[in-house]
Amino acid sequence: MGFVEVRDVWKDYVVGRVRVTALRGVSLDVDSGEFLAVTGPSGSGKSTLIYLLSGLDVPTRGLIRVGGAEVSRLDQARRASWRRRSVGVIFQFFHLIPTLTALENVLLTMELAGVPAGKRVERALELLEFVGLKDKAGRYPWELSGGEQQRVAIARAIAHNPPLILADEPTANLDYENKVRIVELLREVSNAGKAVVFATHDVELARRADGVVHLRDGVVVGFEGGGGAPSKISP
Amino acid sequence: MGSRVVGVLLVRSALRVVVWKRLETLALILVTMVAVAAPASLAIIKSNLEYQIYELFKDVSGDVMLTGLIPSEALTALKGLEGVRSVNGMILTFGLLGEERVLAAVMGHETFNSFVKPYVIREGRFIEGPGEAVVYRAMFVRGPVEMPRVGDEVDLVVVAGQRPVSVKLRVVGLATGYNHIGPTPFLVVVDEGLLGRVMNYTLTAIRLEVVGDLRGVAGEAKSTIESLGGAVSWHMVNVREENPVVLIFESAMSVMTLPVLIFIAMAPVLSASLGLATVVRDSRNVAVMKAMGCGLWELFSAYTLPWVIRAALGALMGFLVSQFIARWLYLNYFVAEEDLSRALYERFGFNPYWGTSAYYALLVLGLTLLGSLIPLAIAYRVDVVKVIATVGLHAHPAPRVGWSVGRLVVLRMWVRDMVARWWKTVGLVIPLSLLIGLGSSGVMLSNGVGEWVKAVEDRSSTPFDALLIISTVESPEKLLELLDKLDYVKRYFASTPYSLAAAVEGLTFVELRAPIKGDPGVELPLIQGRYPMGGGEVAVSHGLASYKGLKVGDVLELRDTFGRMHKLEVVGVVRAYHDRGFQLLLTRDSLVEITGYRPGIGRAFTIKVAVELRDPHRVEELLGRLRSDIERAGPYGVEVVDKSSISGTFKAYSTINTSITTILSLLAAVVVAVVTTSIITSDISARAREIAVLTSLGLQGRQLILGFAAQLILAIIITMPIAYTTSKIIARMLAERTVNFTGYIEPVGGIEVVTTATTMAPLLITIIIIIVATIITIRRLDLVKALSDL
Repeated sequence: MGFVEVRDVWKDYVVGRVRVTALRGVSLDVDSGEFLAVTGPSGSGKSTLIYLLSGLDVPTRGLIRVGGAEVSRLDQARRASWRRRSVGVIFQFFHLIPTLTALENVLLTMELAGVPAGKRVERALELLEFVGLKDKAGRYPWELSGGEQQRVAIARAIAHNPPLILADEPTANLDYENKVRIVELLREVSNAGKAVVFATHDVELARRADGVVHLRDGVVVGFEGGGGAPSKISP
Repeated sequence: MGSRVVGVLLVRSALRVVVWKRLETLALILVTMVAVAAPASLAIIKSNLEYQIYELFKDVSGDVMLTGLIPSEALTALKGLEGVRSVNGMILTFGLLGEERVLAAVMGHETFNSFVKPYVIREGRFIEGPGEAVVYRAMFVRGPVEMPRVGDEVDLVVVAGQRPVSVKLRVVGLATGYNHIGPTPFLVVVDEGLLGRVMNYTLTAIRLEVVGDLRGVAGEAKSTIESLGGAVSWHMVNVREENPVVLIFESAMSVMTLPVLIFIAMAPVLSASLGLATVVRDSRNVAVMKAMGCGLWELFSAYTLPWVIRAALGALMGFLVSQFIARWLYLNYFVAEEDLSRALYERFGFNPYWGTSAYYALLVLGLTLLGSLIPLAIAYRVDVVKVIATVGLHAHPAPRVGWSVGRLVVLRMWVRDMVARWWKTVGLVIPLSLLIGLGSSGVMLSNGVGEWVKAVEDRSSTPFDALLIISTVESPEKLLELLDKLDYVKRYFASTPYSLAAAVEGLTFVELRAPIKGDPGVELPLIQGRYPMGGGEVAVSHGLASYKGLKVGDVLELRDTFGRMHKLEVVGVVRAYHDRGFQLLLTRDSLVEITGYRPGIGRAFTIKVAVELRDPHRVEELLGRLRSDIERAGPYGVEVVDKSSISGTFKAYSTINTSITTILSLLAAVVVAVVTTSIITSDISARAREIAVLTSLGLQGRQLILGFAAQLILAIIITMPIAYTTSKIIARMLAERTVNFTGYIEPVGGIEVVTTATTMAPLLITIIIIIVATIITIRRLDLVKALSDL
C-alpha cells in the first residue's frame, strides 16, 4: 500500500446538458519520496486526478486515501482543514496572489497552516533561496517572469511542509530551460521525502520522474519507468 | 459590409451578455427603474397638485382680491374697469369660534361656490337661513385643529360694533379645501341677515377676475373704491410665481423630492463599478480584440452596450411604472379625504405628464451611459502586448501597494485588494455614504429643531410667556392701558403685524412688525446692532439673517404688493424662535410706506402682544386671568398662543421631517443593498480563480466570508467621514426647502450623527442583505471549473 492510494475512482461532470466522465475506474499508489508523473493528451483526466488528490473535488465513486486519511469521504470543511496541513498544490498558471509579494505568498501558506509566527519569515526566506529567488522576495508577481513565478509557487506549496505535493501542468507556460529547472526542483522536493505527483502532457519531461502513468480518456492505459512497481497500478 | 457584419456580431454579443449575466442585468434594471420612478412619480404629483392648487386658489381669491370698507356700489363700478371680467363681493369680519380665530363671512351660495367649490362640503349642506353656519377649514393649517360636527351648536363671537356679539349657530355643513381665505385657516359662513344686524352692509372683500395687467387693474380698483368714499386696507395680486400657497406646496414637495434624487446617483455608480470589474476581468479578451483590430466602436459594443441596454430597459420600466405609482400615491396619500380627492379628480382629472417621466428616464439613462463610459475608457487604454504576455491571476498589473497592515498576511491581502480593485471600493463607498448621509440628515434636522424648541422654552432666549393675537375694531390704546395696569404682567411688547407674500426672494411670507408700545426685547431680543429708529431701517430675525446671510450694515430688498422694491438697511438682528423666524421689525412710517395702508382703516386692528408674566410658575393660571381681563374690557377677539403650543408646532414639523427621511432611508437601504450586493457578488465571480487558489492553499469557507465581510466593514469605516459631509449637505438643502414652514433652522450634529439608531437601522438591513448574498454566491462557486477555465 502506498502513501497515496487511489482505488477504482470515477469522476463525472455535467457541462451544460452533457454528462462527461473524466475518470473511469482509475487506481494507483504513490509512496512517500516518490516522484510520479501523470501524462496524457488534453482532456485525458490529468487535472481532474490532481484536483481529486488535493481534496478540491470528490470522486463520483471510488476511494482516495492519503497518509491513512480517507480524503474522498471527508466533507468540504474537513477537506480544507486536511489540505491546509497535508497538501501543497502548484498550478499551470502559477496563480500567485497578486496583492502579495513573493515572500508574502510563501508566508500565506504557513499562516493558514498554523506554523508558529516566529519561524515563518526565516523559513520563507530559506525556501526562496532554495528556489533561487531570495533576492526577489519583495517583488510582486507581475514583476517576476513566468519561470520565477512558478518557482515562488513551488516555494509556496512546500512552505508548510506537506507530505504530498501536487503539480498541475507546472511547466506548460515555460521555456525549455525553465521547464527542466522546475522539474529538477520537484525532484529535489521528492528527495526530501515528499510524495510528488505532477501532471504534464510533455512525455519527455514526464520521463524525468521515477514513474509515469499514462491516461487516455480517463483510463490508465499504461505505466512506465522505475520508482513504482507495475503491480501497484490496476488498469 | 465587413464592419456592418462585425457590428451585428458585437450587438448580438452584447444582447447575450445581457441575457446570460442575469444578476447584473436584474440589478441594473431594478436600480434604474427605481431611479426613474421615484423622482418622476413625485414630480408628476407635484405638477398635478401645483396646477390644481393654484386653480383652486384662483377660484377663491381670483386674480385680484381687495379688502377694506367697500361701498356696495363699488361692485358696479369695478365691473366697468377695463380688463375686469367678473366681480364677487362678501362681508368679512373677525370672530372667535371657541378658541380659534376665524373669519365670519357673509356670502351667497353662488359666491361661496366661486370661493369654495360645493364639492368640498365634506358633510351636510350650505346654509339656508339665519341661525345656521357652514364651517370651513383650510388644509396646511398649523397645529392641532378642532372641527365641530354637523348638528353642533357653536358660539360665534363676532368682533364688530362697540361690543362683541355672541351668536348661537347650528353647524349645518363642514367644508375643507386647499386655500386660506384671508389670514386665518377657518371661515364661518353665516346668513346675511345675521351679520347685517351687527355690522352695516358694507362689503369688506372683493374678488376680481381680470384679463391683462393685474397690478394695473389692482391700482385702478383701489382708486375707484377710494373715489366712492371707501378705503382699501389690503390687496393681493395673484401671480402664479409669487402665489404663497403654491410656493408653500412646492417647498413641501421638494422636501420629499430631494432625498429621492439620491437614487438617481446609484445607477451610474452601479454601471461604472460593475463595468470596470468586467473590463478588468476580461482584459485579456479586450487585448485580443484590439490585437484583431477592434476600435472604439467595437469596444463600446462589447463593454458599454450591455449596460446601455440594461439601463434602457430599466428606464422604460421606470417611465411606465411612475405613472401608476404617481396616480396611486396621489389618490391614496396626497388627496387623503375622500370628497376632496373625488372633487379634485372629477374637476381636474389626473394629468400623466408623460414629459416629466420621459425627462427622468432620459436623465437616468444618460447618467448611466456616462458611468459606463468609464470602463470603456479603461478598455481603450489596455496595453495589448503587456496583457497578452502576462499570465497569472490578474491579467493586468495591480497597483504596487507597499504598506502592510498588521502581521497577518491574510489581512494584508484583503486590505490591499481594496486598493487594487479601487472601483469596487468606490462602488461601495458612494452608495453607502448616500444611505448613511440621508438618515443622518434627518437626525441633524431633528437635533436642530430640538435646539430650537429648547430656545423657545428657555426664558433667557425667549422672554415672553405667551403671544396674544388680538383683534379689535377701535384703536388699541385702551387695551394697552389695561395691560399697563395689570400687576401680574411684568412687561409686554405690542406691535402691528402685516404679512407680506413673496416679498423676499425664496420666502413665501415675511412678517413686518411696527412697534406700538412696550419693550421689543420681550419678544424680539437684540443679538446684534440696534432697533430701527427711522425710515429705511430694519432689524431682522436671526433665522432670516442666517438664511439670507445678512448682517448689520447689509441692505435687504423687499418687494411690496404693488411690485415696488424697497431697500432697507439692516441695523440689527433679533432673536425670534417663536414663529417662523422671518420677522422684520421696522418703524410705523416704514410699514405704512411699504404696505400702502394705515392700520385699522377698513378692517379691524389686529395687534400682537408678547407678554412676560411676573410669576413664571403660574403661567397657565395667569394667562387665563389675562384672557378674561381683556375680553371683559372688550370688544376684543383674543387668541392666546402659549409656549407649549409654539414648541408643539415645531415638534410636529420635526416628526414629519424624521418620518420622511426614515421612510426614504429604508427604501434607499433596499436600493443600496441591490447596488452593493451586485458589486460584491460580481467581484466574487471575477475572483473565482483566486478564491479557488486560496481554497487550495487551505483557506476555509468561513474565513473567506469573513474576508469579504471585513472589506465591507472597512468600506463602511471609510464611508463615515464622507457620509457625515453628505449628511450636512443634504440636511442643509432640506432645511432650505422647509424654510417656508419652520423658518430656517440650522441642522445640528457632529460626526456622531452617523452612528445613531436612525442611521444604523437601514445600514444594518443593507449589511445583512449583502452578507447573505455573499455567502450564497461563495457557496455556489464551482472552484474546480474556475481553476480549469483560462
